[in-house]
Amino acid sequence: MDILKKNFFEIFGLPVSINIDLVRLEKSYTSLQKEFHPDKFSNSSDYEKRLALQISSYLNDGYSVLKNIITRIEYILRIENKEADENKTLQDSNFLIEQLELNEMIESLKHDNKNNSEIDIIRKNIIEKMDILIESIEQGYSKSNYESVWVNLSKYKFYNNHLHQIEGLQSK
Amino acid sequence: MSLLKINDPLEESKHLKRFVVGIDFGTTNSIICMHNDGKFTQFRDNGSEIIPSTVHFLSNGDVSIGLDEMNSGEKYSISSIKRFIGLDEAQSKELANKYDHTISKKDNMTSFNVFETNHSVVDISSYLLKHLKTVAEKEEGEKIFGAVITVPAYFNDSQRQAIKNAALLSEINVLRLINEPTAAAIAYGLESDSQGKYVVYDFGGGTFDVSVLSLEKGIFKVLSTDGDTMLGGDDIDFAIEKWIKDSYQNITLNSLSEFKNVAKKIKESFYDDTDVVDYDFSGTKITLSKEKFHQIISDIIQRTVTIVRTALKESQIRTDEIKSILLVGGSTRIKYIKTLLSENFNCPILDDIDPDKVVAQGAAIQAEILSGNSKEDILLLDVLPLSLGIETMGNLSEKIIPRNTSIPIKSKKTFTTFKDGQTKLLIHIVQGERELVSDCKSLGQIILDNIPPMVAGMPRIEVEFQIDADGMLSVTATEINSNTKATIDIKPSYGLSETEITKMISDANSFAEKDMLIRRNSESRVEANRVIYALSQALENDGSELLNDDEINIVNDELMKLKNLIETAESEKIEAQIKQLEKNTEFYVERRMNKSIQSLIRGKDVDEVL
Repeated sequence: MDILKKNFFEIFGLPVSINIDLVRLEKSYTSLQKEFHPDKFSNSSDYEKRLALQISSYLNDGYSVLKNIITRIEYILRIENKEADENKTLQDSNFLIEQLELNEMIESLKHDNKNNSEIDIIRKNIIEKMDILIESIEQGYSKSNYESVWVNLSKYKFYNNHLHQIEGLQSK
Repeated sequence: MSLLKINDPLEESKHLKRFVVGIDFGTTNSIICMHNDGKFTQFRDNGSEIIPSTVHFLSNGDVSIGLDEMNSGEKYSISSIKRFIGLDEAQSKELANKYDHTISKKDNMTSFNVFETNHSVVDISSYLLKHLKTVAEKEEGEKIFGAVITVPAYFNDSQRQAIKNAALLSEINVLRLINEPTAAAIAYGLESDSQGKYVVYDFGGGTFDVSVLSLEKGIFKVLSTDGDTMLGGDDIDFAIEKWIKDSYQNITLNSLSEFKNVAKKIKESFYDDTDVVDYDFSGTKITLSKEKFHQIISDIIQRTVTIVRTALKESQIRTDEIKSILLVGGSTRIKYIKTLLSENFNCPILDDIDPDKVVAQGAAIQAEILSGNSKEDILLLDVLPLSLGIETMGNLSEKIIPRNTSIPIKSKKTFTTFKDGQTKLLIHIVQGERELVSDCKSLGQIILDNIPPMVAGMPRIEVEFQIDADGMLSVTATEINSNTKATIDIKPSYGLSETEITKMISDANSFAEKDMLIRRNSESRVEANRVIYALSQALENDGSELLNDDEINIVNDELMKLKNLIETAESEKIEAQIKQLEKNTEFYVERRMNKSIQSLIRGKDVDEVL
């Protein structure tokens, strides 16, 4: 079916871009689901039901991929055939040491009862670094420097994992 | 067949209105409800809209449901059957002890031995559903066309399947399974036309569910859901029961159920903010103060509060964004729960719809929409409650679809073999959040056979999970290089195959065949008229735009054939022609879908489309 051959950006009427209009994504998503969700086909033929299930599933998939910045960037690389080589590992030793230190710090935070404001400082620090990485990814992408996109994206994922752990600590 | 965007003219739709209901199949009580012309009808059994989910077996083989009216004769009663759905053997035994039941296994399901006959969990559920169906059909004087049945949001795939099987056995056409908290949100949303972020706190007899939803412009979008299928009002009863036993050791009762009744009555006395409850009970006075009561149930309520927090975190909603908390389930009548919730989340608590009826009402609205009776423009977007994955080396679960993913959804992952020349691969499907397979719920296994022998790591085995709008899973595994395929709908380790169910139904129902035939004849005519109407409308709208002359002839030809059959032919022929027509006009349906999506995408501005 033609619809399922469109990429996620096309289907939601968005330009292929690292930064997207999330409000517009939400609106296109809901207006399309209002049309194609299987509930709208409960009195239809089996064939229509099957198509609706496929389309609605595709829309849900696309929406969740585009909503999250990591999966969105990975998706762009995929549709442009510039996927990172999975076997390549990050070579930046300074960065890796920093990550190990962060790991240790989070571990110790789990055990000591550090107060929330201390944790919050670390959290803000990480978010700052993530914002800078996104800028670098965008620059790399605009210059078709995919090597730099891959490297910065995998760094971004490291920080993102740490951020999740820290936010986990905060909610406790 | 309702080709896209076709509205029946008024007289047509009135003529074709179907009798559809919402069913809240609860742990303690059940309700069957219809929504029609903006009004709810809860069907009454023995004068009561709330029908106890209790099955009474009599020694002469009879079964009666609901209120216990018969005092004569030996009988055995089973309540809270819903709590047993989907439990493994050990869990079932533990629970059965609490309720004083003896259990064994039948068809690989937990079953109860009553007067020398085994009744499985699905059997007993089907007795209840069948009874609800009979109650409604008797009052309405019409057969039910279909039903929306609610399930706890946190039910896993095999628990959902068990409910579906029970419905099949009771010959109920399931239009959709929907989650209880989502159903409640529909009832509230429709009433107040609310917009914003809501938390549904659903504390029933046997299960606790929480869902975080965003409501806007007729779209009910579930952001996250969480819960505990083993936590409910029954546990409060158990806690009070234990307290009585510990504090009044001289009390002797005839049966365990007597203890339970007392505990329940004491709990209910605390629904309004009473300070002290005194209960006189064959000479012994039991006194329970409010403070002590809160202390007894505090652990249970704290567990629900923690689950609400987890759900909020998952949905990425801050506490101050919650517009209000909607209360569902009889147990939420306890004043202390309201107090604790507003202390913890600092937002208004909504309880203006009867917490016992709100779920059935929401289901009834959804049934009305799905049947086409209502033109209300509402859409439910729900999520998968528990992650789905498959077992990989080392007893680990590899997640294929994470929880809280919007459904329906399709997702695939590629795996490979680990031995040279391996020709078979066993795929074990599990559901749950834990890392170890043994800590997750096993849903079933498929074997991919006839993989051409290759070096280990060479085969590319794509495992595809498709979850439909009911939240039910089907799995396909394909070896890409050779295109070897295996598919199953997960009919879990638990439960029956569709053929088995069909057989059981026909065994039970050799009577009333004539009635069925007449009914089927009129139904297929109605259906044929619908199809003709929809297709003709479609042709008029865009036939000349999307089809060439030959194609229009094909469609008209099929229409003609069906029209000729309507008046005279029997239902089988009509149904066959409907099928053939649908098959031969598939190209047209597909073009219309494509056109419709194109126009939505191209739409000068998305806002205009909305």
